[in-house]
Amino acid sequence: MSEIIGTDHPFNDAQRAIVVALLDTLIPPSDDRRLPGAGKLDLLAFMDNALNPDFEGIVHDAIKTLGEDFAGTSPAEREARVTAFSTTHPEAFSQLYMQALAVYYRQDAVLRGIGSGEGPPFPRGNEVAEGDMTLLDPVIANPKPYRPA
Amino acid sequence: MTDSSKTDDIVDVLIIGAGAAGGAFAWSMADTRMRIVCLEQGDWMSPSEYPTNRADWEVLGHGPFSIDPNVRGRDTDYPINNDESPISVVNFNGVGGGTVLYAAHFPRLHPSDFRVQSLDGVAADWPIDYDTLDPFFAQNDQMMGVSGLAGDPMYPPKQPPLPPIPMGLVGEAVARGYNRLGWHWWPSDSAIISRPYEGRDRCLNLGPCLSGCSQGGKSSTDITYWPEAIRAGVELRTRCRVREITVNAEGMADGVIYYDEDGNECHQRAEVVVLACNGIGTPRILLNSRSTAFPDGLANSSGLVGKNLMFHPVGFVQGVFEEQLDSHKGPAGCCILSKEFYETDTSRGFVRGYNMQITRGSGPFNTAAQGFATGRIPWGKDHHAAFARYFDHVANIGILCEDLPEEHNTVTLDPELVDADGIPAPKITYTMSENSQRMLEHGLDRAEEVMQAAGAIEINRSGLVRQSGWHNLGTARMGNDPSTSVVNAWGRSHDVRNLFVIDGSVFVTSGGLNPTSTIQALALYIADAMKKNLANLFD
Repeated sequence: MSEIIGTDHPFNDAQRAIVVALLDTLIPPSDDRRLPGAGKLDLLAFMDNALNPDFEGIVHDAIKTLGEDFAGTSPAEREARVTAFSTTHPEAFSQLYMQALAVYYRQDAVLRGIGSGEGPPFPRGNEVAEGDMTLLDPVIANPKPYRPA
Repeated sequence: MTDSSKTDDIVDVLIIGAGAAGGAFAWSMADTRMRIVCLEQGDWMSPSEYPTNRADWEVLGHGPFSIDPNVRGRDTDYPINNDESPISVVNFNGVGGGTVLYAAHFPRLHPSDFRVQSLDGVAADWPIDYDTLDPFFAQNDQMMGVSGLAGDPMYPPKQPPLPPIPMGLVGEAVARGYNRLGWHWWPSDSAIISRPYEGRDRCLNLGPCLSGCSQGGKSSTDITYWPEAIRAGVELRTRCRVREITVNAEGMADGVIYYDEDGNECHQRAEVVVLACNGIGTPRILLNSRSTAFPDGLANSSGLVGKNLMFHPVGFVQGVFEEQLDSHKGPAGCCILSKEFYETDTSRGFVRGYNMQITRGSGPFNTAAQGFATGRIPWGKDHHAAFARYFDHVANIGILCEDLPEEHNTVTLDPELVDADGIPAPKITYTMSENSQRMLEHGLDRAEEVMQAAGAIEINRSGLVRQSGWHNLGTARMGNDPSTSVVNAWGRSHDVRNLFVIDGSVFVTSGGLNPTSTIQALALYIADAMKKNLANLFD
């Protein structure tokens, strides 16, 4: 009987560090620390791209291309490597970045930080100002009638 | 093999399609106490399944709740070949039809829209006028629960049953621009309830109406007309996809062949057949209903079934404002609109006109994704500052152009592409006319002027939007002359006297406005005409 405990986690520790560094390069924390970096994302959620069943393969290709030492390099070097990756693999980069955005902008901490309501819109709802209806006064005062038929 | 269990079962009225028109028509006809059955290829929708119940609501709008059936790809959808069109068809297939995912912007056509040939010397006049439809517009406003503000000088008097939905900071900002230019604007009529109405609770300003309304504040016919129609005795069968209409030896329609949920081929007989499948689905079925008596498709002696397809070409101008506008809050597609350039002025270089509709901004993910696509919101250290510049700081003006009928713009049957039941898919062949192109450019120029007058700090212009074929009109048009129209002035086929068309296919011209209000008023008017003519319906 195997002593290996099964896991569905898609990364080993080294790969995980690369993905975290990649995500923080794509969306770093805000200067005022009000918004977290995307490296704080739940990586399993990040990998769960229902719209693209090949997404896991794209991430592993990116890990290889960025290099084993990626997580340990300077921010400037990471930015240079990601820029190079986006140039040589534009479609894969687009998929990675869009997925990062999709997962990032559903986190409560992020939604709080940008001033949006937390969680899904329903049933929370939103308050919207009725609007200043006196703005219609000049339209009413200078009516343009419909064209008779 | 055809399921014979139903072949002896004859219903009085068989409606194909449970969308905007089918729901209104079924409800109106129910008081006849005739046996009425509607076949719908899609499902009933459950509000708890709509994306706004979930944190990933914005992503789902690009997949299983996409407005594009080719992207959505549900087994209840049919594919559409848009390769020969700069505009791709968008829709929804299910109880409620397109109203499930529409924006619910609900203007009526204008009186002048029914007299285009007489007034401007182009296209053709309708065989009916605004006054004919007026009582049915009002009836439909009550049934759907329309919010709006009476008194718009651009219309004959009308009274929406509910006060307008909030225009918010977005509406205020753009309205100031219109006022500085001295141009017309008015709060939009919306099929969205601003107050509790008929057992439904009010709109919660969730925002993304185009992926379905979890609250039920948006008036789709699955929650307005259909519960009433079913209570009155109409039978609605879902997951029934009609392949063709069958005819008898006398050349009258005698039923339809459809596939049920399990793929069984069934024949449902009927005394009257009513098509309510929109401007794409209706010509598809008619063209696929070929027989010895009708070798070019049913009701097609004019040769006009599937021809004269009209869209409403759409483009946008985005204004970015210094001040916070709460752009992502509130019904996305409804706010205020302007008819300043709705009517013909030949000095502009085109005939007819367009409406300018002010729409709100996107949610966080879509803001960032659009910013990435346009290069305005980068990844990396500058991401947050750029995001903050746009999110909740934008307003949009959509230019929705009147498209004129041209016979070379068509819906035909694709020779290769088929749906899951093997029925030929529709193929769209469409060229945007020079008139429509000039109109759109004119509108985008004027929208830029409005944004400047409103004080926008950045203005971004988008040309023709490809994924904008919501309004599919004119492909089985009405008229008094059988050689130039498919149905008569009350929707009855000139060729097959117990076959009716009640959807946007019957539009003679498109107007420059969202058509659902007019489509439903037409469906109610045709139902009323049928009821008044029951004794001699087929004469």
